[in-house]
Amino acid sequence: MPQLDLDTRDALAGAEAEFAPDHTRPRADVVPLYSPPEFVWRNDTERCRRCKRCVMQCGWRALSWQDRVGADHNKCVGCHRCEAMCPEKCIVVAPNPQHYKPHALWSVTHRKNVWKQGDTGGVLLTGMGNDAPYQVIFDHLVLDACQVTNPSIDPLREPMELRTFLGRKPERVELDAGPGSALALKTRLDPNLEIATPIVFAPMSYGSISLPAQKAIAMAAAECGILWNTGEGGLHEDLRPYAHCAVVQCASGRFGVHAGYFNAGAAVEIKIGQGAKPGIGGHLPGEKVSLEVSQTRMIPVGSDALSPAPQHDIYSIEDLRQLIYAIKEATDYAKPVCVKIAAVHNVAAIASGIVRAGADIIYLDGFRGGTGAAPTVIRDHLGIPVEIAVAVVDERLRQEGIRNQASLIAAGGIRSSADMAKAIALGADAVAIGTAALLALGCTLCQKCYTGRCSWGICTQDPELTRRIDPLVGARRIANLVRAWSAELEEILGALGLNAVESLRGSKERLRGLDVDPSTLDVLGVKPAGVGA
Amino acid sequence: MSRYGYFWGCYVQGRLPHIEKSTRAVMQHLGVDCADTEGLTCCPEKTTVANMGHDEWLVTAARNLAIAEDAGVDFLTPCPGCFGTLKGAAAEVASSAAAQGEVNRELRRVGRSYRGTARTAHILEFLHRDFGLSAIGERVTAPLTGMRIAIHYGCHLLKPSADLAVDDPAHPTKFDELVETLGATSVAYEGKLSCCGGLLSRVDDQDAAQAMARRKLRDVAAERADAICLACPACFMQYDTTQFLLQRKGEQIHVPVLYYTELLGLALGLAPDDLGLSSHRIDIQPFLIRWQGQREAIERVRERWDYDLLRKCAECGACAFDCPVTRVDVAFDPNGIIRQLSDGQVDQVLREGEFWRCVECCTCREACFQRYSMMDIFRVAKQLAAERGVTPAGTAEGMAAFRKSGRLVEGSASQRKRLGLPEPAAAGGSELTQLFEWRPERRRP
Repeated sequence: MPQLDLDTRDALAGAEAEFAPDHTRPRADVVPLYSPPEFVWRNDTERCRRCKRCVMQCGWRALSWQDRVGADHNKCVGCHRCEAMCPEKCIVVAPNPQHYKPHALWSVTHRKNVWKQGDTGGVLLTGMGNDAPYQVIFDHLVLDACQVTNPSIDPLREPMELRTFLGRKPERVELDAGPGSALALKTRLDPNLEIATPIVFAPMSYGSISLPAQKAIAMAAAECGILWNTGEGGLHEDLRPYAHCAVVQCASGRFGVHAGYFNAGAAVEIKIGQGAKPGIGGHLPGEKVSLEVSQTRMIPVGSDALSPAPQHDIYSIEDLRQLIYAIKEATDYAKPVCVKIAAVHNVAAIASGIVRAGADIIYLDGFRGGTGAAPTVIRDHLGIPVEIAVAVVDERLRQEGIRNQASLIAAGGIRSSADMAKAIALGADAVAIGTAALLALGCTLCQKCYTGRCSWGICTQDPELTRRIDPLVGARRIANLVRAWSAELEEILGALGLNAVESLRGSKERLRGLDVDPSTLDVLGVKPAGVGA
Repeated sequence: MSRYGYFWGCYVQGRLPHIEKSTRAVMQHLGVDCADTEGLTCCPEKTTVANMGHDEWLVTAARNLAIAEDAGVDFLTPCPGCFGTLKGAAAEVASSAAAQGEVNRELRRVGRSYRGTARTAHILEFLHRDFGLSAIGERVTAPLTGMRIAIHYGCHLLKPSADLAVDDPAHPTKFDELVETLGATSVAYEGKLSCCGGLLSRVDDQDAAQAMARRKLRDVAAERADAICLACPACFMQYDTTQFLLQRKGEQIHVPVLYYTELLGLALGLAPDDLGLSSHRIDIQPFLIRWQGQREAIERVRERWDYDLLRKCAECGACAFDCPVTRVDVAFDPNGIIRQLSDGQVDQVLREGEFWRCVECCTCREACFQRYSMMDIFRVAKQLAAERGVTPAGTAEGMAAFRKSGRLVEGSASQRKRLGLPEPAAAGGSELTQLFEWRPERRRP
């Protein structure tokens, strides 16, 4: 069309008014802008013996075979599976050295996200936990140690008690003096779960992770005398032998939930929120709902498993109380009921309500907690650190005189036995590990769980990929991790002059802060380093 | 999902009605609400009508789109030419107030107006984006497993990408995904993205047109493709009709040509006659025969092996270098046996019995990161052979001894005596007999 002169335009006036495109209909047809690959795949062709293992191993199909291995760098997510499996070790996956002009406000990540959203118009997804550079409070807390005035204990020579009991504890116990000198317990105790060390596995559903991965975790839990958690995926038939140490979850989608499921587990957990995505629900794409997943979740094959953001029968603490007691009725009051919440601003008051609603265990999931899939914006910007949540919840329950009525589990970014000891000192009874367990299985934290193409066979339902995990080998590795952390915890307790982990619980006096702002220390109830008792 | 209206275009309806037949059959089978619309003309075709004058081209396209708007449908078209015109014209009008005025002033004279709300999708774009790969995959009843398909994207499905935005024009993947979701393998071949050259015959240069067609067909044949699959009537004529002319000239080439809805229809279980396959110039029978053979053979493989893994194993072959038997026996080709199996040649493999030479040293299993190995595959073959009673003499003896006594060999009493060893404790062979009853036809559950 030629450019029109003004007279012609006047003559045409009104004709274009008929043109009224519908702007409400979404358009997704855009050719992607160039966005440089995050990683560069290199292969030393001198040493490569052209065995093609790397091509076969890449779940993202970034590699292809012509007369040599060719890489589509844009598809590489940096999971290092090909490197690990290369018999000649001649592959290097390196960050793309391509350099953008630095900008203190517009980081390269911000730029790439804008380009991506210009391409797709969609919510950006991610996997695993919050990777943003917020201060990690654990790294700014130091533990005390005994010197001179009280003796430390050598854990290799003296007994050390790591056993922990999760559940409601009585205010006091009354004893009956029976005949002779025998004493009998008069108080009726609430159900408690005994774990051999203050570690449990975080909820990770079959569906979000593969069956061999979940099996490895369940077997490790049985071996270590601790608990694993079904997540919201139901209990697969293959995992029934490990149900005695399973926490079975009841979440907003109620997938796989029936009375038999509740009664199969050691405890029941009501999932209200998740640290990685507080305030929103879950979504397992239909592509991942295979026949076995569908049978376990009790939904049709290929249908999206959508967990709503709220539980639609819980709009208040009173509603929660109804569900807690419905579950207790269904399980004959024989199992503790746990309530899992994401750590948010008002967590102390919420936790108090949850205890009063009848929960026996509270699972606090901090904003570093992992996930199989979440909107990046939610994962990186909502919620608060678990260190703060545990400290304020513990304090609040103590003030109200109800700390004994529930156990606290701290989760969301527990990376080491040091984090575990600090979390316990801040008020937790035990910690939960999810990411750490997956790392022990081989996960490299590439954060692409939401694609379902995990080359390590952990976060996928593709049988070609899931067979890469041998549950027995995986269980051994995860159990080793639990053993190692337990041994280290004993060392820490010994240095603190303690011989039982419960003596450390809520002992903020044994912590000091380094480089933490005073108001945060205040909230934590921890003194700055250098200040004595 | 919106309501759709067919935009067949001139070539499909005029020259290649079998494409219309297969498209209708498939859309009906998939339950897509798509109807015919009255009053449409040529889209119009760019290289002919646009050369008569750009305004004629634009107004004709806008008139077609206005008809879709009046009918309340979006267009679905099997022709990339129509697709490019309708989507391109819509993009041009949308970005120019002058064009909006001009087009509508013209259309008023025939009592129409173009509002810019109608959309156009190519069938492939619709199937991939709106209908969805998994929804197609679920409906496949006759998978094309083992069939090698050479995909020809053609030019106008992808380019100009600024207007069309169907896929990355330099590295498209969606057509491949649509074919692979039917179970087929998309073959990589030289010149996959090159043009068919069909326009050359319309500018009266038959020789150049044939040269371009021949080149692509030879590249495809070199990769042992069972068929070339495309989504454009012009490309179809180039590879079907022009190939026929090449054959008449004595060219030794036979590559069946399939429009995507024909391939999809077959995978959905529709009969070749329902898809109009007999209208092709290049006989489609060899494709159908090979497909039938493949399906039966693979069915036999699936009875005992995980076919997908078997194929992966055949493609990989990385551990074949590590097999110790190959060091002393150059004729032993373990990866070759796996390839035979993945091609469905179960009987031949059992007849040749090469797999008995696997010494089960586990070297390949250790080297396999899929935890699946040649040794495991050969073990299944050995079981199958044992069931049929075809085993090497040594193995047969061992089996007989085991069935008789529950042990592989009986010790020599005198030798044991010399060594001062006691009589061996009694074996429990009778219990085994009770357990297994040694039925030769025993099968794993």
